[in-house]
Amino acid sequence: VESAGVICMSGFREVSRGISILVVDDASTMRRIVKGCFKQFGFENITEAEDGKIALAKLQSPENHFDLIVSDWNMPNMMGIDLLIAVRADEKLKKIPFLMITAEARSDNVVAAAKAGVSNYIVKPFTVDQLEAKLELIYSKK
Amino acid sequence: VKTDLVNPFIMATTNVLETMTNTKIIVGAPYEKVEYSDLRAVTGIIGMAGADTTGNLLISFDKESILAIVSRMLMDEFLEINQDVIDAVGELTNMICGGAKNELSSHGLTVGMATPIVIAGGKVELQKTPDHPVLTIPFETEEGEFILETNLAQII
Repeated sequence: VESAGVICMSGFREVSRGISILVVDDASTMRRIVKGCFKQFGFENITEAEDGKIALAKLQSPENHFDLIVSDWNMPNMMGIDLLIAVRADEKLKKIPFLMITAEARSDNVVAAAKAGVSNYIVKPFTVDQLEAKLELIYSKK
Repeated sequence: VKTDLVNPFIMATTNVLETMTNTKIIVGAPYEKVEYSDLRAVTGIIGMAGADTTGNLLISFDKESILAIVSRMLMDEFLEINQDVIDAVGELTNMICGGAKNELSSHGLTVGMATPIVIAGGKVELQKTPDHPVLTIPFETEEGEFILETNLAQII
């Protein structure tokens, strides 16, 4: 299955470790934790953005190419849900897998994210294994 | 004291520290505070208010415990309290309060959270709020000075 130029096979473990990942969070600590998890999984090509607005600019820049977006929900300037809506509305970006990380466990948030086309959803706090399981679900569906 | 108002904080603290920082913690017996308490090396504070709730959360770590916790959390070795440790305490305070808020909402209580404040070694850090810097306003009296800081933001 083709996703933004990357061939995904039967699951997360099969995904090329060379893919480009965008981690979006206003908290430097969370960006560092998520980056640390992906480095543990063997990924090195990770870019950070401090909010949805900065992330969208990086995504829409012709100089960049991303294969996976991992975003927080609550951020200044542009929330994660608005970033998700913008990504799904953009012809060039709409197929990129989008994992939402959030402290909000409310069902209306989950429903809103699902309606907007989120690939999966993980609630803080989470373990490395829980993150890997969510990524496995994303890539096994593709 | 209603246990419904206390247990969510114990559960959230245990959950966040065990999940995000792989730290085993032992919960002691709660007691009513009657005197001022001494702050430990790094302290996170967050304000809470809702239609039917009001209060604060304060979490204060000694140096050894927070350096070990943040080292495991960020998968790096921290030997001194620096900006990364201060940021991590802000995020831990946020996550613990968020976890308690989720648990309290399942008991029908609404809690709104402010942004955290972190105090370390005589320094204090207010987090920037959306599109708004932290402002420090200096004041003087005949005998000396004081400052006021605010980061209040209007959320549209």
